[in-house]
Amino acid sequence: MSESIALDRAAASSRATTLRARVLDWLSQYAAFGAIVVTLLVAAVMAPAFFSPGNIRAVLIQTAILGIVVLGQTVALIARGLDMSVSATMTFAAVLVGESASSGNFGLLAAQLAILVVCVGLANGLLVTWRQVPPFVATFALLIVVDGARLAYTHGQSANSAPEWLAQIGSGSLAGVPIPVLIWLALLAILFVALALTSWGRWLYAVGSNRESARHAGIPVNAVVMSTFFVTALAAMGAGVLQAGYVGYIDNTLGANYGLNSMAAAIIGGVAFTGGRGGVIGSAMGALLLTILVNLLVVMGLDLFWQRIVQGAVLVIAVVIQGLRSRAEQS
Amino acid sequence: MTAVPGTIGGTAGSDRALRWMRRNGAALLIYAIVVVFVVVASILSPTFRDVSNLMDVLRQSTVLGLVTIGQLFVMLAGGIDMSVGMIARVVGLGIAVAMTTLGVPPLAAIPLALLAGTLIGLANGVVVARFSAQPFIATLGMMGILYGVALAISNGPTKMVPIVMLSIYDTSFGPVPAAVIAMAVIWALAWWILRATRFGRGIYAVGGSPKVARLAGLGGERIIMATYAISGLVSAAGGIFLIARSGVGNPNMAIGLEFQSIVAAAIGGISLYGGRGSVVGALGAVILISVISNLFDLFQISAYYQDLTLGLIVVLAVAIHRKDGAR
Amino acid sequence: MNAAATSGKAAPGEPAPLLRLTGIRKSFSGVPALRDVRFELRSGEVHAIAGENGAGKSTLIKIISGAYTPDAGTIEIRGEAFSTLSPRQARALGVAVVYQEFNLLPYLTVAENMFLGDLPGGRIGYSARRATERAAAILDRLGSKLDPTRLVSELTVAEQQLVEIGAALALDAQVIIMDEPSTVLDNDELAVLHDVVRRLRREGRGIIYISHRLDEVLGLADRVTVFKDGEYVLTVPTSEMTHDSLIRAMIGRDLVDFFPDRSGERDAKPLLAVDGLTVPKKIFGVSLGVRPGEIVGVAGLGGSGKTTLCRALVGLEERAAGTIRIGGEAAPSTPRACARAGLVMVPEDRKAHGVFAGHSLAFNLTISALSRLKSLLLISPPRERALVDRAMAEFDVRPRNPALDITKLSGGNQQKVVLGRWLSGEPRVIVLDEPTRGVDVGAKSEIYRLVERFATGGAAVLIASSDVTELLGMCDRIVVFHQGRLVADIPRSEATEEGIIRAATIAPTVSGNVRVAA
Repeated sequence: MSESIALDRAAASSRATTLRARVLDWLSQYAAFGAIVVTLLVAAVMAPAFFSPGNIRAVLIQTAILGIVVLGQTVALIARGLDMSVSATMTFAAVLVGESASSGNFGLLAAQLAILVVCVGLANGLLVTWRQVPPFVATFALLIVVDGARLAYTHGQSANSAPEWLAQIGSGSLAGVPIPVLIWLALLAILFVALALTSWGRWLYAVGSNRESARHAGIPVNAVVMSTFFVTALAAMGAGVLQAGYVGYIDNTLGANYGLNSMAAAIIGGVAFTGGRGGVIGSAMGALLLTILVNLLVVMGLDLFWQRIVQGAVLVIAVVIQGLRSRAEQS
Repeated sequence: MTAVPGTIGGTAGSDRALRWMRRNGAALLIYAIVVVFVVVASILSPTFRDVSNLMDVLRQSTVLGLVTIGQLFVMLAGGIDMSVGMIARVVGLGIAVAMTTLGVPPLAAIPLALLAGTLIGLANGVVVARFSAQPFIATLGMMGILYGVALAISNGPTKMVPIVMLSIYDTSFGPVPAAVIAMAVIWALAWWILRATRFGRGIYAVGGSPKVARLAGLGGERIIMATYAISGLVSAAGGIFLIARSGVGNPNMAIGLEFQSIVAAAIGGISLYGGRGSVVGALGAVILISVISNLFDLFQISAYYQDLTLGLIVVLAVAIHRKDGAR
Repeated sequence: MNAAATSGKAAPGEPAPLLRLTGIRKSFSGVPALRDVRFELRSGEVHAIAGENGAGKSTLIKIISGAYTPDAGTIEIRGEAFSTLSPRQARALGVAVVYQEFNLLPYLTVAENMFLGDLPGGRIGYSARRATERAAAILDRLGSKLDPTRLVSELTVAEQQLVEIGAALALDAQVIIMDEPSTVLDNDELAVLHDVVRRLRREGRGIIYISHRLDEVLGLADRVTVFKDGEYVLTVPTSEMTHDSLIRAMIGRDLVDFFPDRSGERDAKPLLAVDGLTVPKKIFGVSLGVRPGEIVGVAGLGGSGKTTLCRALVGLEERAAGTIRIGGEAAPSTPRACARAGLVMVPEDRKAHGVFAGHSLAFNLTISALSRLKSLLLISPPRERALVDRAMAEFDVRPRNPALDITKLSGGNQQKVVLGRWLSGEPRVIVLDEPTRGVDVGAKSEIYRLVERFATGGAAVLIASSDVTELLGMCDRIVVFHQGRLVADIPRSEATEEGIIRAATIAPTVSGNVRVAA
């Protein structure tokens, strides 16, 4: 008799914990989408100017540029890494593009951008795989080196304007859709397919979920980890070039907040910082949410500092939701 | 190695010396490098070997030195604190505004500043320990929030700090600046806490293995929260020296402080995985970084190359840093 | 402190035991691990627990130390009865466990590790000097001159074990449980450990000693309790036992029909040929061959080298010397290349090295077979579906839901998924490390049939297992590891459980005193 009561109680408490776990799981996957809806409702009431065609277009282009960096960050996070050096790579790439405006030498520019991506990806990758440096330390060190290298290269003078062809890409449209948005969506589609239907994609999840199991399962773990840093560097380079085209000029702070924001977008979009979980659709939602929030603050005429506070808070909230979820799963 | 039954673990005196060397080798190496740098620079530059310049090197290391203490408490317990630099900046700016705009007297402003830093650190600790948030990302988010706060505080006209504040940094006893004495006292206190209190040993235990610490009945969550609170406290103290040094508040002052503090701790032998490392080595690393930036200025190395050089040194340091602390 | 004080419940003339368990039951997701088990420990006694792998020894320890709560039964500690214990309660009552993998902090000192939960000193201060003195006093009682100010990371394994025992004494533990303490020690160190255990006995403490080494059980313990398949078999003074009677008590279950039939001699060149394989500090000069269609068993105690051999075969351990050939070709040095060459290894630790938790059954099943699922550049979902359906049917994975999270499956079904991952690629050489650990009886039998089918299909199979009956039922030949070396190679017709356990458990230095199996 008393045994069955105890059993009922145990069952009830386990039901309660699974419900809690499920709510948190659901939250961490769809938090971004829900928050977008809420934010848009708030915008409709408090700042109708948000919905002006010009503003919508700006939001979409900014989402696209952040979204490209987020694609890379998502890949790194899935494999249980992350990349803090994206902002430096973005700015350096933009600086190189700015210089080509005067020289007009495309071949040189392509070579420079390629060298940038290879060097940054290789350095991050080697530190993490070969030297087993934790990714945040390795990529943070690279952030400083790449920023330092840019300063040494430009001697601080980087306020160039973007070349004409790039400005046309950055602010142009194709069939009414901004070109950066088209590029973003194309990359999103490619990566979506790559994650779901290529060995590399599956390997990323396997490596992020359990590195030892992956090794036993015959997955080239170090090569997979290395590849993620090339993807982040490549994405950051692309985003830097597009950003230069969109804003039309290049300055030293062009990429400044993209490290933090790309991580915030991916994590609020359900990509687990513990690796192995999440996808590009969710993180794209995260990028959209973050951009809308920041834009809304601008439209509502709030001070600039609110942007930083909101961006930081989004990251903290996202990481807390995930922390609580992993804790609920463990118990 | 074969053991004779009954005498496992007997020790000879020479072993003891060898073991001391092995345990403290990393810290000794750092001080050796500092000495080499100082000697070479003294030979090359009469300005460098001037006592007042040498004292200035130490004085300039106070901000980084204080922030690094916070970082090393957090790192020893197995975490990381990306918000230390921003706590120092927000607190520094807060003091400037409080004293100029609100007319708060210095004697009240300083305790308030320390309290604010502690509370911010505690918030980090709650998020990390209670909510199981990943420390790097959580404190990075906090850094973002605090940057916003710093921008908000500094939104008005430039904030000049009253002269009283500047004296905190400028006062000297004989040739020794008060700031250096303060830093030495705080480092000694940190050394004592980590070495000779239950709490300090608990930090090492939690950082070494949360599981073992739990089995031994140590309150892991409370210890972790306390390390972040301490980090906030000493970072706030660093912020006071920061504003006293620059005189003008600015949300971008002392950029790179958070990373330098991690690097100083890591070079000083604090494991990036927690539970291991000595305060003495980290202090050596702080001094080393201060000496290097002094030499940059002295030999008029262009600011454009300073970041790159420092960054390359950092990459080299982390590449050499071995993972042997992890199991 | 003293058992006599609380002896109210004891029968007249007999002191209450330190520890008494009665009617203990425990099952894990329906699979019983302990059925109505009893156990008793007196003070001043070394009480060995013997039994094969899966007999329930470690479950019992975890119940005594509070890590598991029993489904039924009573735990009586020094006269006080409990139906459940928390780890904290167990510690407060004086129960301490010296685990196989030590719970020590490598960068704290010996003294700090010994007193971790209650460092000596004032309210906030910690006195390293007092800790050192107290630690030295305890170590001295254990007959050791170990310097308490050394860091644990600087110690040998034997010294670390001593620190663990010292930590138990620092708590003044009356019941000290040692979980296979001898597996990590060499013979000299073993002599020291035995000396320490005898000292603890003299102090009036009760020691539960778990060991697979039978000579050790008989030589050191006062009494021995034998478990088999989660059931209590007997408790007797060791003076009344011999190697043979002990081994007989540990084995002897009905094996009819549990294993598939194995018959027929095969002659062919070995498909897997290992010659002089050496992994530094782990295995030395191992040579063996496995012919197509043959199943070879690898027996040995935990830590004797079985797992190292399996890992070294696919390049997961450093191969310092020796050769490995697959059908005459040198085996590559990564798991991936080995799989391409037709050699696969299913690892021992399913949770840490096998499954991808949080991912679906299908993901786990196909992760090593992706290249076979491609049409053009991409993985073809229909092909993937087909492989998953086929594998789920072939390996009888239940429930048959490819989208289910792997961790929601039972141990046996998880193992079938992991086997399916490797075996669906039709490998020529299959290495299985503990393929049925943590698997229920029904799934075990299915796994045996699967392995048999692959062997019949011409694959060479190597099975490492600590379950000797399993090896006897499955294998054509059994090789035995002892401390990193192959010490026996026994064909099926001559293999007996006694012979294998003897070869695996009796140290060569002692084996001269014992009759060797016929």
